[in-house]
Amino acid sequence: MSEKRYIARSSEIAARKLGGEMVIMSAGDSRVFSLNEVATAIWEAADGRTPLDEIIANRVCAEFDVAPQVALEDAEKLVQELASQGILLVSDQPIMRSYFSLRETS
Amino acid sequence: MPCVTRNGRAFLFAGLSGAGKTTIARLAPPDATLLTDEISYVRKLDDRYYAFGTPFTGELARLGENVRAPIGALYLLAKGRDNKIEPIRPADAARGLLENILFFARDPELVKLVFQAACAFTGHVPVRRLTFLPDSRVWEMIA
Repeated sequence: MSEKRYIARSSEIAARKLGGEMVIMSAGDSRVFSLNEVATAIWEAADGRTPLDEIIANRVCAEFDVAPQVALEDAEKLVQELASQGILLVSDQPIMRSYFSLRETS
Repeated sequence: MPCVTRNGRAFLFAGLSGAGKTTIARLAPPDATLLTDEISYVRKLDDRYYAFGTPFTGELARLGENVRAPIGALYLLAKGRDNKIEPIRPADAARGLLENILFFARDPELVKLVFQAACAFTGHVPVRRLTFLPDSRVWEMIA
């Protein structure tokens, strides 16, 4: 748990926040996902530059009543799940937009 | 997705196979007009959504009337033990509509446009869950 993790939204999706929940469609295969309020906060902060633990501290623990360690463990599971669905990118390095756009279109 | 107009407004009915789409179209009262029992056509004109009749027929084998009407509501259907209408969360409204859009293109940019159009629609038009018994009294609730 020592290394930093960075997350970025895939460019191959369409997303819209509806009534506090993020609804996401994978543009490649039209699958639809919806995120609850906490997952939506993480998704919105997934800029590729902010480490996941900072996102959890600033966007989750500051706004929702949850202990940091519990929140981080849950967030790890969430980002792995979203990454396995191909809608979120996870890396131990900051993710540059040009880098992942290139990767996804190749 | 069937569409029926009554008292100048159109009502769309969405649901997976077996949810009651054909049933509710069949139960429509005599003063209602069938726009389609199979594939609805919807356009936004002057900031209002309209449904248009289409010639696509489903199980009822009845052509839709060639008329249009502003859309009053989209109902997501389920069969149940009584008739009831419930509000649904905006995210579920968008998902419910997306599951019923006929769309074959594989172009990611087009998929994104369809998604945004569906979200815009559910932001404008009331979307509710309609659970119903298969008899004509359900139409007393539809407005």
